[in-house]
Amino acid sequence: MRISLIAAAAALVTSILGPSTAIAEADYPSKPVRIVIGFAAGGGTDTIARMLAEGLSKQIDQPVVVENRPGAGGTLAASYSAAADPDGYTLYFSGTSTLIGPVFVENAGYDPVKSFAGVANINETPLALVAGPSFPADDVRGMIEEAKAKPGELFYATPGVGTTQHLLIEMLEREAGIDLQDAPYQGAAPSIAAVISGEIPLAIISLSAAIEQAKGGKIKILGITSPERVSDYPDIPAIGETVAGYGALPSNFLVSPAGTPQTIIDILSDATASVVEDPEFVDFLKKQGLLPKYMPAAELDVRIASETAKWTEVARSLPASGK
Amino acid sequence: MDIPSSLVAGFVQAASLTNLFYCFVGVTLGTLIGVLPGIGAMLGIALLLPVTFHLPPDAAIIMLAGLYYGGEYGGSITSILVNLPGSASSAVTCLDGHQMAKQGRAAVALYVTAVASFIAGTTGIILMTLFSPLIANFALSFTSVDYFSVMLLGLLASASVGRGSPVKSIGALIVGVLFGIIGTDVNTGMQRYTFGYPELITGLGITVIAMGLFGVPEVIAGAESKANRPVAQRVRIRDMLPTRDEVRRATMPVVRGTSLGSLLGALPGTGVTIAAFLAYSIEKKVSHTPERFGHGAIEGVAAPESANNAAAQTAFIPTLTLGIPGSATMALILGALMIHGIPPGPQFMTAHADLFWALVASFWIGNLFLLVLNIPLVGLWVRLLQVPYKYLFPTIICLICVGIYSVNLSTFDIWVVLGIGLLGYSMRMTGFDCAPLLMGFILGPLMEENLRRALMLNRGDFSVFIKSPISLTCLLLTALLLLWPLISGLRQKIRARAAAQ
Repeated sequence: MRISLIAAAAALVTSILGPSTAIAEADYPSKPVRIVIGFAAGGGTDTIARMLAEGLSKQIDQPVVVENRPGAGGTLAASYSAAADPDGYTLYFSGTSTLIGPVFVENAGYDPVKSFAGVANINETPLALVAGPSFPADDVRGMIEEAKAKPGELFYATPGVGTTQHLLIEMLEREAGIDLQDAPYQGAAPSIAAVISGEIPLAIISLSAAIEQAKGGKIKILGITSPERVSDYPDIPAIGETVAGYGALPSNFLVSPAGTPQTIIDILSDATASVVEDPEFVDFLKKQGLLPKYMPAAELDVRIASETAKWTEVARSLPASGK
Repeated sequence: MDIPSSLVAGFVQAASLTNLFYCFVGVTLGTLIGVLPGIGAMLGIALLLPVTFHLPPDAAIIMLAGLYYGGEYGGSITSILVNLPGSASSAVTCLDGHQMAKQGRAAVALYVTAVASFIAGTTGIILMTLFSPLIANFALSFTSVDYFSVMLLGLLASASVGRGSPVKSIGALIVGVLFGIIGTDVNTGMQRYTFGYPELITGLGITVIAMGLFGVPEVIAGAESKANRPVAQRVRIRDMLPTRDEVRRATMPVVRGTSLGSLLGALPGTGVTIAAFLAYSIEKKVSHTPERFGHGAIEGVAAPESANNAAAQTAFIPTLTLGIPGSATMALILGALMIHGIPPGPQFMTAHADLFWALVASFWIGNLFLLVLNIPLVGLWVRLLQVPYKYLFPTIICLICVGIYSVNLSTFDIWVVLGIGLLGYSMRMTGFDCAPLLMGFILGPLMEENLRRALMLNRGDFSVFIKSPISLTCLLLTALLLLWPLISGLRQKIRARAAAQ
């Protein structure tokens, strides 16, 4: 008796839920959408998310709210979003660090590839390899010669173990066959200060900071980490020109929990495309030294898989990964 | 352009109606946010940042900066009134400020805070006007070696601010260091004492610890005391003014606090907090009546308050002249500049000279606003104490919870506040001071990070700590602090002998 009651109730629930999901899909979006982000309000990533939310809100005609859930290097927010209903009302503002997260955080609660469905890529973050003003070399080739002459003696500053900046140098060491020593700092600012003051000879820092410091003669830019030169900065050589096969750019992208209906993904992806291509948004990103780069959902899914493999492989080689 | 004419141009720009308005909004909101427990200037700036996207750049930065130093000031109001430090740097003000409030002299403490802050802020601004590039280079010359020694000095200074026995202070300090170690080790990326809780990976938050140690125990202790209503205080201007004796005693601490704060504020990271603690501990050392400290000594309010406000101003120097933010809050202000297409960097002072000088001018205007705003408000703040405990305390607890939750949207943090609160209460009952614990929490992990980096970069050579002049100076000062009781004891003996002969 009880069992049949439960069964009846279950049937009732499915009959109600079934069509309503379809209806929900048809008139999406019918209520406010939130974008979860793993960083504190006010930071660089948060600012991009907020500008995106503002643009999206105009496109889909619903309020889009940014929800900051910082902690554990962004993995708290990622696992929280991965567990949300895949109904298109909870999105996650993801990035390269989310892909690496599970390497360093045990039981991170999400899989960077399987837990999410890509919506759209938003921007790429160009980074620069820089050296202090008194560093003997002025280009990547000279730096590599210097490193080969003193194996294991050249230090580089990073904003922390396992950050994208750290992994980018690890990749360079492998490709160029050199051995450098990492000196982690707490965040990007002290790592830049360490290079300017001459405490540490090398670092990878954001291109915008690098350009400003170079203008003031405080540092030398050796090369950009992207595979090729960036069209906005044609004078800065890519590291890949000297070290064949080297090149990686961290990026930011919007994802939705896995299982989100394709129609909803398409609506969001198209809306994001309009925002990312809006001249005002483009201008906003460029002012911060970022490169706007839209990529539709299907293409993004492929890229997330390949990027996860690429970065995770390097991250796993670090002692901190415990692997 | 030379400095005077630049400054005049700066004042003209800062005194435009729009900029005056946003400066006023900034300092007022900052004071309010500083007063609310758990919500610091950082969260305030983060929340206000999107609003500034649509403002002219000068107005945006002037408002955000006002929020920052306004918050620094507001934090000390609740430190004095209800033992709730708004920020780590005002925690030391709790020690004597709150004792003064308990003795019915809250108005005097608030008045001294306002005046000391204004004098210190003004001095900081003058130094900024004249010596920005010089101070920036000084800050930049600090390496990991020097940071370690400064931290050591700060740590030792904080051990001596405690009211109880030195042994208990050191005990509290070590517990603080242990709490600080929780989370990811900077040097290796390994997680320590996280016990599988992902919330602990980034470590415990400073506000969480400060609220737990100071605010919660105060409420528990208040709830068990029989008096339902504290001493009623009617505040007239006359009651606010310190006695002539107090003015005399507060003067030198303000001078010393200001100099210390101006110097240390430029150091990235914890300059502001270290300055406040060091200023307090110096006053306690040089005082002829150190036993008054911790029981409502006016010097114990004047010194740290002038130190942290001077530091709050000079903290802008590395941020503006080098483009390197000294703290997370400063990073937000730099972010706001970038959004307006003004890249922060070594070129800022020359490429955007008008903005730089307008900002400097607005600092002074903002400090004046704070003074004018807060002296009349002292009466209002003090009246807060007349709210019966049965309403005041639940409100405080409620505000703490909301404030802490709003930072990370995490209920985990609220449980931590409760846990730390119970620890704080038991420490209070057993005569341990909480201030050294807080400083151990802040400085311990930084000291470790810098010590390990210094040794790594110098291949394990310990002699670097005495080879660097800055480090050597700090180590000598540390030794002096350690030996001071011995020296002053000897001096007294010699004096006594001389008197006897």
